[in-house]
Amino acid sequence: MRFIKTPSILFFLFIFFSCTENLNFDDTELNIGAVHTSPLVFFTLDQNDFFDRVNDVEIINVEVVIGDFTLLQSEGVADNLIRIDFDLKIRNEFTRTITSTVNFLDENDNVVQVVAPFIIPAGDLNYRHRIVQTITPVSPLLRAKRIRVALRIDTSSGSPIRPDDPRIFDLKSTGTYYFEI
Amino acid sequence: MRMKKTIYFLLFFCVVVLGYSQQKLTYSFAENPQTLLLNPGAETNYRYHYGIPLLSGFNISVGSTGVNLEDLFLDNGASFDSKFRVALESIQPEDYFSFNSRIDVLYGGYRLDDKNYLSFGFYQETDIIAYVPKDFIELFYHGNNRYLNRSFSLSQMIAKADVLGVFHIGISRKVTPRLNIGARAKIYSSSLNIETNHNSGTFTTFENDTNILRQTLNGVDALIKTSGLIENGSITDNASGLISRTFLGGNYGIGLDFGLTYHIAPEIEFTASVLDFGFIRHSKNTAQYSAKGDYTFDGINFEYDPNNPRDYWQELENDFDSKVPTEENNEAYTSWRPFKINAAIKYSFGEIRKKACFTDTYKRYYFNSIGFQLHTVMRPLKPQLALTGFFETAFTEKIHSKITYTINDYSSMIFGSGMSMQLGKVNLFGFVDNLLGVRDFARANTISVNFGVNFVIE
Repeated sequence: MRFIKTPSILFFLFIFFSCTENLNFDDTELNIGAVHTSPLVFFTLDQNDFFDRVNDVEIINVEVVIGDFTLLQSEGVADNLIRIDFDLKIRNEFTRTITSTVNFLDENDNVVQVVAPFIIPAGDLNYRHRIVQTITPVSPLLRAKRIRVALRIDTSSGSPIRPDDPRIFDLKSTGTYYFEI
Repeated sequence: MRMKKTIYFLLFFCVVVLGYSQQKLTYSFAENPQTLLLNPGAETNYRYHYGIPLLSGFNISVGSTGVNLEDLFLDNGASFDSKFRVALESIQPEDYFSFNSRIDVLYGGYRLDDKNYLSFGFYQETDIIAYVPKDFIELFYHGNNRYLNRSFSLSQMIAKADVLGVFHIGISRKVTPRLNIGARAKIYSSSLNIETNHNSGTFTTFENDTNILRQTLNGVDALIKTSGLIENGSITDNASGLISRTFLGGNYGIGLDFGLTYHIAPEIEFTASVLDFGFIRHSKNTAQYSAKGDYTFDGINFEYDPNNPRDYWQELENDFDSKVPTEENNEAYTSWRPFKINAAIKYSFGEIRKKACFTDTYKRYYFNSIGFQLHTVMRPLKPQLALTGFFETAFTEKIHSKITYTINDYSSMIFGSGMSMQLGKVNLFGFVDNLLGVRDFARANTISVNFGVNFVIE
């Protein structure tokens, strides 16, 4: 009989003295703060792009419109995006200062967000600029589907634009997206 | 008499209500009818048996090799976020979470003659294993910004889930006084299958001269196969349908178990079995999703032409779709069952009893035995191995107990214990694996429960 008692007692000792450390299942909120980076847009313009061959005059304003991206409208992005950093790396071989304006447009080309203009000095081969956009659920930027980059060449300095001049204006960019989920 | 009843009640309570264990502990133990399901070549010494429907055998096992409850939920003042980050740092892609449950819906057996014992039944099984795709959890949790030049591997996406019913019939045959062999045929009826394995490909972001950054998808080849998950174009939420389809669900397969018991000497017994050597053909409610290709993304290469505006975003989508095509189809496919290999060697000693039996006039029983068991389950990434040392002792001819020590992927300190007892015609058994885990559930990486009630008529 003692053979039967022994395992019984052992079992009960295990069960009655079994325990767990204090666990907290109330605090299960996981805050994801992901930061994603991706290449965006790159292009190269030469002096021919700033010159009207028909009328033989300089083009002062060049506009680049890129779309139609729907990324900002997608549910996962629109609900959780809190900030975007646009990083630009520009090589301006022109002898002219260039003022750049970036606007974000909706699908009807209405401007929904304007970015303060910035100036790329003549001959700056490693110009860097960061555009920081804070996002809220009602940010107009979330309606943007196109980006318009306007480049205005300074007419008061530098040498004239010549179509056969090999010097270029080169822009590279990345986007860094901050999510809080 | 009253004392005896009390003791039996306590034992019943221990065995049935509090008895947890992993099914492998039932292997080659006490001529319990359940051992036939783990080794069709196990010896039997009764005329027939039948189980109480849904109660003849119940097993549930949960395990995690990477983290335990304490790692994530310990009330120590730290935020869940910080605990999650620490856990994420510590886990490896080889870590996995697993869940297995088996319920014997019907189970019985009948002695055909002195040498042959037939057993048959139906059980439902749920088996899930998911490896930790650490790369993509980190990519989702932290983003790629801090991981420039790191390749996130798609090959870590490995998971398999099955819900199925199994009709089975087996025979155990005494070939010689020393050798007993057996086999079991199975018909699988799959209710749900989800599996993804052998995926390949990497996602990398790195600095590049074309643009500031370049992103690449290299050698992507991914496939997810499902059956029973998608119904009428959407994910099923019909839980009762999942259960009912385990009877005759339309996705069938066949399998085979075989095993043997060999007495090397009167005191030394060797047993071995192979279980679930089979497959299921999925042809109903199937859905397969695949993606294959390579892609390099430098950003949108804008070409200035004011007279011919282009939809660059659409061009980008089209280009991506052409280079990394995704496909969804409803083709049939075959999934292999995770077959198991069991083997044990047992040395018996101590007091000898003789017992009338069918195959010999008397069979000699030793009251004590020690030995080793090896259990292997073929899993998608690598076999899941467990080595168990055990000690068995019989308190009476009707009451047997087993104590085990197991080393496996989950832990190197797993102690198990269980009992099998015969109360008249009623056989009760119950096991707990990981007694230390019962003591402190939060720290346990694995816990298993196994119990059952069968009627055994000698």
